[in-house]
Amino acid sequence: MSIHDLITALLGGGMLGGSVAAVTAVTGRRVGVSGHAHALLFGRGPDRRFAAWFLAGMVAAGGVAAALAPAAFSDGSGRPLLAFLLGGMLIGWGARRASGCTSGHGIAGVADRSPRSVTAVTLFGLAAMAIVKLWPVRGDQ
Amino acid sequence: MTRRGAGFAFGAGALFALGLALAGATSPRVVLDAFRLDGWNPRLWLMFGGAQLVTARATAWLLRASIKLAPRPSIQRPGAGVPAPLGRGCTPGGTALRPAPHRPVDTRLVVGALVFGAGWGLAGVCPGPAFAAAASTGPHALLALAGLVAGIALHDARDHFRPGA
Repeated sequence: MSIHDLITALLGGGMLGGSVAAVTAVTGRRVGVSGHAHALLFGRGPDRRFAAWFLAGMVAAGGVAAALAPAAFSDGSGRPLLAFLLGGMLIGWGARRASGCTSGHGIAGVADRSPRSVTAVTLFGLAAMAIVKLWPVRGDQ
Repeated sequence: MTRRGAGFAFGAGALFALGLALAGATSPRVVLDAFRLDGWNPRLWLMFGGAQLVTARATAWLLRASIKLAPRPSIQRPGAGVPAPLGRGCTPGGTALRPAPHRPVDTRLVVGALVFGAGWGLAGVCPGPAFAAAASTGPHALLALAGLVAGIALHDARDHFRPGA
């Protein structure tokens, strides 16, 4: 890992933290991306509208970033396409079951030192490590 | 929602997606390399560290501000007698803070977290990158997003469309 990677990772993380904190400061809620996705699908009223605009901002800014820096969006994992569909279903189901994902638990909940969130994040990582151990990522960096 | 509120939500989402892209979390390879023992790449963990630094400090500030601004008695965690981390007062903008319900660690959380982690290790995508990469060119991102929506719907549709709900 280069010094460039170190700085962009910390800076990018700071932007995530700023976004989560700003959402709480304005809406009064701790909500992560899976929470927004759920609100868009099943919510109503202001929460749903907020989620729709938040996710639209994500897709739009992500699209611009992907056009400017396609390498940051390249796959490179060697995983077959089916793994993304199945993996997506598991993260969707699991995030709802666990009442949060890597942003709701991983950023907001851990910052609040919530025991549930710390437990969830630990299990997220352990399960992901187990899968990568069973099904290694192809090739070197 | 006011136009300002919509603009704020859009901007917060854009900031989130740009942060993910800058940190490389929009690449499944970068995510999966964080779980390897050989060829380990800690970029993802540094990103979470950077997020913690900001969110934890911002929350501490928000709590101090909200306690000063609190217009009414604090809302207590049910039964615990201790204020929830975000359990009192209002935001600097005057919106009531709505804390997540305080619950103990239970089977739902454990099962959900393990299933989530398995999907994370399978695809190298979590909900943030699934949305941030939706308008990129790779088919993997759209498939992950389609799966995510299906997974959420599978979990919640029955509750939502239960008669009388």
